[in-house]
Amino acid sequence: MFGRKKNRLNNTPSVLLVDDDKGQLDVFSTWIAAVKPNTHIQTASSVQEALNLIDSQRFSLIISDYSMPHAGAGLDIFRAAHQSGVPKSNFIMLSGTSDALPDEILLISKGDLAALESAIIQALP
Amino acid sequence: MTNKDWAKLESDMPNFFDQIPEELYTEAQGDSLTQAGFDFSHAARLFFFISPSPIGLHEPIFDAQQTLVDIKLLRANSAWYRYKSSPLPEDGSLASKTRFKFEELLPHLRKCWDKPDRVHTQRFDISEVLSDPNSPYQFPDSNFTSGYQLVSHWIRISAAEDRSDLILEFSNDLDRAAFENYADQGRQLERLLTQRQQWLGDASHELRGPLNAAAMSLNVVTRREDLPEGVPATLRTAERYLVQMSDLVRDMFDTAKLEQDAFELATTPNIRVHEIVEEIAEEFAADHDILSLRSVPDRSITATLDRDRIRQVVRNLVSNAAKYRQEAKQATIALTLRRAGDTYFEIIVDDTPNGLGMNDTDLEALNSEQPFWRAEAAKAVATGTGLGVQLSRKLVERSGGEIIYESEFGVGTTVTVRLPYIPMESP
Repeated sequence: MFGRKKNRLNNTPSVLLVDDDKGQLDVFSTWIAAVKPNTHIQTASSVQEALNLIDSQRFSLIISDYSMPHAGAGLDIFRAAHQSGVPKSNFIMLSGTSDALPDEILLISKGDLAALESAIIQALP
Repeated sequence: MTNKDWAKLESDMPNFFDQIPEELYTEAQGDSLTQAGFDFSHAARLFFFISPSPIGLHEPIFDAQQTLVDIKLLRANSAWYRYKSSPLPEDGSLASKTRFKFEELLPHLRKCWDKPDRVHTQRFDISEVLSDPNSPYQFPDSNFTSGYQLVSHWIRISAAEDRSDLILEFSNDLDRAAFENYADQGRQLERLLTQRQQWLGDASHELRGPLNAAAMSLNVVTRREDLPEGVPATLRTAERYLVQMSDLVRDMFDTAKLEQDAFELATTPNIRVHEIVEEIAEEFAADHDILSLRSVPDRSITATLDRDRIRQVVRNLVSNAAKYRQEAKQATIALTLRRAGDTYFEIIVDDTPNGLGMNDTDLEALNSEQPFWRAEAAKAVATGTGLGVQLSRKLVERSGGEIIYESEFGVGTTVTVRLPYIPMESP
């Protein structure tokens, strides 16, 4: 192989959104674009797709759903993201339930837009 | 009497009775035992025999030679003992623990096996037995079908003149049925609880996804600056209700989890508590229902706690203070954070004097921890489910603290959340 490609489009932060519902993923992209303009947004609607993207690119921020569709799938993405060099503070897990996750994972309750927005602003100053 | 015999007795009861000569049987529906010649005034009555007895589940114990050496009480039927107002015997060996001396009993048992004097059989339809509300057959864990026949065989063994007769009671497998049913129901219940947990988790996830997407869509529009007058406010209201619905779904899920003790807190040390208080104060600053929200946080307090959960509790309390206010008045809320000794700190939400307040009956109901309970006056003022209050209480208690309500109807409520700086490790 020719080694991993780790692209970073000049200074535009690149964000990966992971959710198994494509419709919700579209809305999510639109929302991020409104919250944080000038961001390069990519989406993945399966764990595998997310892992492939993380393997081939460098992301400034990854926001993943926790259950896709099984609870815990988001943890695989967290590990892959961590291994690829994404700082823990730049990984956000979204959950519709109150799952107990390791302390190192930033968990935001799905629907808490205020908390999500401030976490995004903090991760992408 | 050998193991084989006992096994036969246990597994194939009719065969045991088949061995008893026909003329010994009297069978009567409604006949009393006394009428049938069973005189209890001169007999020791033994209910407790092998497993089918309705008063307990027993097991014979054999030695290496397969000789009966003991009978073990596996489980007494507590309903029976309540019915008879006698203390429930402890499970275990009957040889050492019961009112009967096993050694004395053993020859009688053997005699009974060989040649009982008389057998009296009573049959009852279980529905008849169950119609007595105090019947010991009202096992909380049994589900007898209405056609079930309760059959009791009474066996009298004459004793020597100076001794009491023995009367043994064998009933059909009610207790065994109940016992197996009980274990089965236990497994079933566990499976159902797991399923419910799974279902609640899935449902919560599935419901919050679309709600979140709807809230996000609205949020994208409310950010625009070119909206006609009045539209942003309307959209924000819609967004707020979506978030409220999403929180409600989460609260329902959490309440169910807490009830099952399947809830874990994600505690972090060195949380600056005043930040939580200030965040909530900021969140509600623009609320039109609130006239003034005074926040007096002690900025020196740091604690080990689940930040999100405590924020959820404070948010719930402030939200209630804003909601439940006197008619035509805006809420005045004081939000205080202060030390309470070396071990605890307190977050106080006070909505006096414009609050709705609660009377003593309300306070009592509130403290009785019923989910979905809401004060009558509160129902008239705003929508809600009452889940938030109970969830808050449980979250605070789980964090090692307590919630104290002081209230005066028509004046308002002071809610004190008292939390330890560092909660005790759970055992």
